[in-house]
Amino acid sequence: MNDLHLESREHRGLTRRQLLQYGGASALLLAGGSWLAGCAPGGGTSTASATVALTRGGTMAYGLIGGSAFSSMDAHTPLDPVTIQWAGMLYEQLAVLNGSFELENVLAEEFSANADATSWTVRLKSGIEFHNGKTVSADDVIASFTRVLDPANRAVGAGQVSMIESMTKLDDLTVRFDLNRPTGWFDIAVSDGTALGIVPADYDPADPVGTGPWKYKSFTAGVTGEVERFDDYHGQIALLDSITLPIISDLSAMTNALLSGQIDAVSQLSPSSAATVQSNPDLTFYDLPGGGYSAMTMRVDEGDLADPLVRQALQVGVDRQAIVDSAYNGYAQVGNDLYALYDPLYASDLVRERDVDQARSLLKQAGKSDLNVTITVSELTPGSVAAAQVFAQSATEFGATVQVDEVDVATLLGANYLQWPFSQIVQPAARYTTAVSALDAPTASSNATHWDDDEYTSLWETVSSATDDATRTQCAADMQQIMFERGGYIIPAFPDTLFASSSKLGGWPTVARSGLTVTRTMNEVGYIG
Amino acid sequence: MTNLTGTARTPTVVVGRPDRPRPAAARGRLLRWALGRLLLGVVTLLGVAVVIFIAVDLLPGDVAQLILGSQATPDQVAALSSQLGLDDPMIVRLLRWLGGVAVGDFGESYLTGDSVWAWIAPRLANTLILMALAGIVCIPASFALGIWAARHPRGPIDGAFHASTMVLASLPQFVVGILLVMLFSTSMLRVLPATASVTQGTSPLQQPLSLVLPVLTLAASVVPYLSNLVRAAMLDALGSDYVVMARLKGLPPRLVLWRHALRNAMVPAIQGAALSMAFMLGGLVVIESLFNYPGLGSALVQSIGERDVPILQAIVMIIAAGFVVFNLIADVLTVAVTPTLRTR
Repeated sequence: MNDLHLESREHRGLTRRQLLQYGGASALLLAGGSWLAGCAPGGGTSTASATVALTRGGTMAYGLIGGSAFSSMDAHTPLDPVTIQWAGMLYEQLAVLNGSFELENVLAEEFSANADATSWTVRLKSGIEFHNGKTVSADDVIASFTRVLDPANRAVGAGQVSMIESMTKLDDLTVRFDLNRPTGWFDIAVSDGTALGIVPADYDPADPVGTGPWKYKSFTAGVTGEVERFDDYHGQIALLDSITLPIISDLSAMTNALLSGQIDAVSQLSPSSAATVQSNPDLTFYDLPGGGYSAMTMRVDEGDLADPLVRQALQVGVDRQAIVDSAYNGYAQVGNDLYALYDPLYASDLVRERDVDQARSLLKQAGKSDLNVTITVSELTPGSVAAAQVFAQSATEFGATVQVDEVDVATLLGANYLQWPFSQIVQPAARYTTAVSALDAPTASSNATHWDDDEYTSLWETVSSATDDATRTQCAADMQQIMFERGGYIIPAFPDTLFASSSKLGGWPTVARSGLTVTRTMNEVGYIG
Repeated sequence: MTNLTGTARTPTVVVGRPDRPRPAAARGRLLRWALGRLLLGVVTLLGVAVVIFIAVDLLPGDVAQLILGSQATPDQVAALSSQLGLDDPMIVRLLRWLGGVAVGDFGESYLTGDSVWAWIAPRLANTLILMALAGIVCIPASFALGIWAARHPRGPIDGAFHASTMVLASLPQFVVGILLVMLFSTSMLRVLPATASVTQGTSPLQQPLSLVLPVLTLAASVVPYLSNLVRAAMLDALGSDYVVMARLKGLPPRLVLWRHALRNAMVPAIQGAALSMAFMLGGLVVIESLFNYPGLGSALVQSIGERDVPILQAIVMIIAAGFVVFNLIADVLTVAVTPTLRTR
């Protein structure tokens, strides 16, 4: 009974997984993109970091939103915007997707695969130190992945690296990963996201130790925390001495705190407060297009939406531009129902032109001219519910009735999670293969559309095991064509990340398509000298 | 005290003294009355406890499933269910919880496993501080305004009072809050902080400036309501026969106002003030959200959203207890102010 008690304590410490995963996804969603110059007259204009001299020293207060009373510093459970921020600052992975969404080695020196991609060898860079002075070695890498794969730890990244069968230490800096299925994109699998940080073999989340540019100083769940510069960091040593990370529960309260000077920068801004911030000469406003998104999901296995003609009708009839303009105040890019926007494999040639007449005729063909469906939504991220409402409105133009049923987040992610006939999910910017493995592959853990298509699956197996770009590109194109024709997603927009900082701070990233670049490059932020 | 004041409420003139029981018996009666009210309060709380327990039990969703998420295996859900004691019949769970509450043990949070009381206590303290400050500001201000407006009914002051309280009362709290923040914090003047975050372990009183805007926002909702109550009651009292009599006797207007009319006008205002204060315990969600103030209201909303049942039940009990206590205080004050009630 005691053991069960303790075990469940741990479980409870990692509970609300989906609830906070969406908070996390929303943070990533809202934190990706490339940097457009902040542009209001009288507003702070952002200048490229290369041309601005930054001084060393000082501290900043960086406002975070979200999190809960049991956010922890555990490297492998970044579930909400707060813990994702901390994970990105304290810990590092073998590799990451950088601002341009390309693979960039961090702790790894080199990835190499065998001929059929059933085994990958990773060589580490030498001389990288943890915050406690210990040098990173193959043992730490193996221990980290073992920890991730242990179901008792409920690590967020476990599904992403589920192809790992066993790991072997070849020498002090080299690890061989033997996979249970051929995976040509293993290097991406260990780089996407922020949940696969490398920690020491004797890691204890209560005393967080990583290799990141910031060292843990203090953290009070739901309230605030502080990090300080890690002077022996292997990359560019941070300019600021320390950063405090106060947690503010309400977006407008956080904006007010920024406007009144109580904090120096915020991680999120709502589209409606952009104008106020832009017109303030003491603040610099950033609008970063990114690859995160909120998708409406239609179950393809039952109900009215099981008919691909009906799904097509909705996909053709939705007014995407209206959603961009109304739900996101123009701070978004139009989506075409395909994910992995910035992946080289993204099928940018597949574009939906809105055609109300075709939508109506598709519904007539399907015998559902008086279609009546209910979409269950929640404000998982600013604009989610508004997007659904705009969609419902645009559906009346082709004769369909879409009722928007807004529930609270706990209900959406509760017992019916992934079972709703018509609902929504929020996803971070991810590479194509990671996204498919999480959403539509047979092993997917978030298959909200209940997608199960033999042709698609066999193409996926080819893509997954391919080691050459040509095969991968061709098959991925075919897969996306299938999705485009009969998939269950309506992805109307890719919202930009909006954030702001005091005009005295510079060095923020110039390109940040992944939601995590801002977090990871805080070592380059400093006071303008 | 004259007879006239002692029989303030009756329109007819009383001849001679009413029958008064001996002082000791009167005190005994008062004590019995107070005890009776306390007992009623306890019974009320018990009723609230049962109702909230049943209501939360009826909420959709299996709590253990909700906590572990849909990826959990049925075994894990069953294990957590039985560990949280959710398998037992409702009566058993209810009695277990009531038993705990009776000795002050509110149990542990479903989510964090921490003691519910340990988590709630600082937030309750924050809310009480805000309530106390609001009370200190609002109640005297309401009385002063109400009396001032009642002195010259339908005059220019009364007109201005009426108009401004109408406007304030019709503005939602968050609108007033945002306007105040814009005025004093972000846009026009920059003299006050925009948020009132409280670091763990510290008291909000250590940052007094940050409490100004929340209290002002609260005052903007409470003062219009209370001051109108006071004004109406004062007008009623000032129009009654005994006041006419007092004036005819030649008593100075100030004495008439403060000694005679006010004492009788206070009763509805006391009741209104008590209700307002009790409401503040759990009703400050908007203010807490806008100013990032960690109080009980936002804790309540958060616990509902997270389905953290022990915390939710504990907070509801605290709010109910608050209503009982404040109503008791109001009744005691009413009796203190209205002597006839003491002998009834």
